[in-house]
Amino acid sequence: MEKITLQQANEIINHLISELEKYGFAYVAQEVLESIEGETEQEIFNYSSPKSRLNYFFDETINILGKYSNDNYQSLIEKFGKHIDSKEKISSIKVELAGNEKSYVDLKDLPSYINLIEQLDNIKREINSLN
Amino acid sequence: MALSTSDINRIKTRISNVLQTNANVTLADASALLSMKDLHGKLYEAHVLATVCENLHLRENLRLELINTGIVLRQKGKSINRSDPYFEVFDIDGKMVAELWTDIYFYTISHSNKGSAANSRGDFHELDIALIHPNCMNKPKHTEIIIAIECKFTKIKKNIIREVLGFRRELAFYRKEPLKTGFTAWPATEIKSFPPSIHMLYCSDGNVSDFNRNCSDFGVILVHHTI
Repeated sequence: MEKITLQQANEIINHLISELEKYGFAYVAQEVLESIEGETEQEIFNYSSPKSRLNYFFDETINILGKYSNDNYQSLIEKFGKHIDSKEKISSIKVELAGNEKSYVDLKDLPSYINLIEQLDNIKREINSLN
Repeated sequence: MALSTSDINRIKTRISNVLQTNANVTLADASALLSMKDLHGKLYEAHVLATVCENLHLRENLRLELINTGIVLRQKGKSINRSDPYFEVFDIDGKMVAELWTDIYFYTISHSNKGSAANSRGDFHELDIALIHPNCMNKPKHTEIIIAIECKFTKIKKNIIREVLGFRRELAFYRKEPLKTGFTAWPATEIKSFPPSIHMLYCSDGNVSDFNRNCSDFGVILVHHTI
């Protein structure tokens, strides 16, 4: 029998969402919530228990962070180098900001979320071990 | 028996600590100028651009040369500026056959039909990635587009498909009998449009394939692409 109640699962889910928003991951929280909007009856059934509902939110958060994680920037640069001739070696990919020509953001500065994903997965495992 | 209050509090504290620790890996400076979601959209566009270069090189046997320095995408589209980085595309005989640009505007069919040089904002739209005829100036005309590519790093929704089909309407006319594109393999050898430009949507959501048949009828190729 599951120990975690629906109220407790919702308390943790709400905390996860609000902390994502608080610490600069609002775009992740938004996508997690959007993923619920389009769910089918079968999907609702699949996480009808508090534990599976909680797992769904953790899994979705981890999946979305994985999607946004900038883990293969160097291989992207190498891919350009392999298929393009260039006088100078390609070493960066920049975004020119609107209304501010010659002001750029370098995409290499986008973060990798590998550690965060691992830590969230550990928390999910801990919750499941308590059940 | 339910979990104890101390269990719940410990889990909540761990969630807070983990997110707080990793908060400093978000781009505080850049995100003030451009949202993280937009930046990730641009990273996705860069991955698509690399794949387009790869396909033109390996599958079409074309040579691409970067003009000016660095690879630059833009937060917002603009007209062609030849001091910006772009790619010249050469065939096997060394003849320049196209140019590859990012984030440029093109003039629409409706603009062409108006027969006026005056610009309203409906007269042009932005292309994330565009393979165009060589030596175009300002905004290429719809007849000068060879491949038009849109990149969507998001869940596919029906409004995106409606947008793509509307975009297609401003790029080429529907033609029941397909025309040759000039490509030998990639992205398509023939297309149901006149002029025979190829319109592509790259999307990170695998469900984009639900709309394959609807879009291919109008000469739009949908590609599920992940990074």
